[in-house]
Amino acid sequence: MRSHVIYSQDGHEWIVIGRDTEKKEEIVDTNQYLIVSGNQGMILDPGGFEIFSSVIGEVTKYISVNNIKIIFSSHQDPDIASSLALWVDIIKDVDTYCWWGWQGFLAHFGMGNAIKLIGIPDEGMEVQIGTSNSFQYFVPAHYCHSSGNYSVFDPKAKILFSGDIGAALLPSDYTDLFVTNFDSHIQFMEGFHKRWMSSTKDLRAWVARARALNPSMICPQHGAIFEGENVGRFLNWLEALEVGHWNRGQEDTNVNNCVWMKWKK
Amino acid sequence: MSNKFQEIYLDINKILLSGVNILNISSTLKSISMDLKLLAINGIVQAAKIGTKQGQSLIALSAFLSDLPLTIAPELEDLERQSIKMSKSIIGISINIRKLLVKNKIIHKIDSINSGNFLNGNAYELNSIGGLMEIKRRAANVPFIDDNLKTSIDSIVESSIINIEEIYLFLNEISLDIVKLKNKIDRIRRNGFIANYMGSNISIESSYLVGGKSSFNSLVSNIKKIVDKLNNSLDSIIDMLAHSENILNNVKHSNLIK
Repeated sequence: MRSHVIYSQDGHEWIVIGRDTEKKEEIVDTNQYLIVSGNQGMILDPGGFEIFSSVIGEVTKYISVNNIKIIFSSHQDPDIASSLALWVDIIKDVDTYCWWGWQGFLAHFGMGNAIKLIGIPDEGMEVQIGTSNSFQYFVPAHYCHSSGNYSVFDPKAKILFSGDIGAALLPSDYTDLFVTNFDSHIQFMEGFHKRWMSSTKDLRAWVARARALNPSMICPQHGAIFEGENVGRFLNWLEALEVGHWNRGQEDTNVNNCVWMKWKK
Repeated sequence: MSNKFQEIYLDINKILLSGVNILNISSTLKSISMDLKLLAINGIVQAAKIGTKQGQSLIALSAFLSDLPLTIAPELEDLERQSIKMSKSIIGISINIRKLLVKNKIIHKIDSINSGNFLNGNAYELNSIGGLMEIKRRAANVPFIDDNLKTSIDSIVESSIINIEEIYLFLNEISLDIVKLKNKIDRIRRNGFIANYMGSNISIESSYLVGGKSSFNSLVSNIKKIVDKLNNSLDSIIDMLAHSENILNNVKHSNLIK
């Protein structure tokens, strides 16, 4: 597991933790983000059970685990949240934020621990970490992958954590943390977005929201980070994309695309 | 963490499998009291048809038999409840061991971050409170690259102690659960014995009948079948409990969790 500081100013830091070379091959690679502000920390999408020890090992390089006060779960998937029980087993005083509709579902990851889950309203909310007026904003991204889904915007660092929006399934030899060639990066994102995003309308609404926030970096939970000109390129590409297709990325209007219908014939 | 600790984890999972099997058997046994009840009612109906003094005594015996399910049903319910409780405790141990295994990995990660200066080549075990206290003592004395590492180790050690305490708590609970299950099985078996005894009485009483013997013979044979099924199931539970108890004793006396 590698960790890298992607922003640091006046005691306010963003660290990406990912590119786990020790993980089992069958486990999808994930990016975890740590925000350290003053003496407090916030983890964005803490990751799965299998990689927990590697993630926490990296976290301790930047902050004592006791000082992590907030865990954010962009949505309900196991690669995001199945480690929650282990986090709350070690850190006793930590709040976990997720969409209000996922609270009862994420509680299933408890493994005997009571996870203190705080529901985020549909329109989002703000949270504060540290003492230096560091506010993080939960930005709605519903139906952009999950039906209850958020991004996180940090106005101080101008970083937008986008969860699975902008996610790319990279080959194992891809080691860059940042997107260096946007055009060639599309091949790693396209299939993922067409299949795992359910609503073009909502995705375009999210693009409009992201443009209004004017981030200098967009950080996804899988793949590489967009910065500089690639932020605009990525948003343009996303805006033009038609999503919600499962039939090899094509719009599905064929009633016979179903084993039962074929069998019936 | 040592391979033996991994073995304990696998052993506990074996007990979990037994726990689930016991639970399944307990659940299937619940239908037995209803089967007995139906048989007894059938006996009363057959006896009522006879209309003689012998019929009266057979009605009395069948009525006694029909009361037996009232005693057995709550015992079987309790058996199932107790099995569920035991399974939960076994899962509790399994989860805590899993957590300890993960925390052991974290300690080694932190050690590698600190250039191996922390463990200094020693394998301190997180599965004993003594080992944990040693880790804590070293964390206080070893010069760390960063204070974050030191305080993080404290948190990991503290939560590991809680895991070990919980394992102990669950181990003791399971031992008590096994005793309670065995007692419960004895009581259920006694009821089965009574049912068989009533069946023998019905058999003797009906042997004097001129007609209608065969329906009582089949009643008695069905009672015997049900009680045999009950006893076989209880025997398998006893076997599984003995197996679980064996493993638990090994875990308790292994000194791996101490």
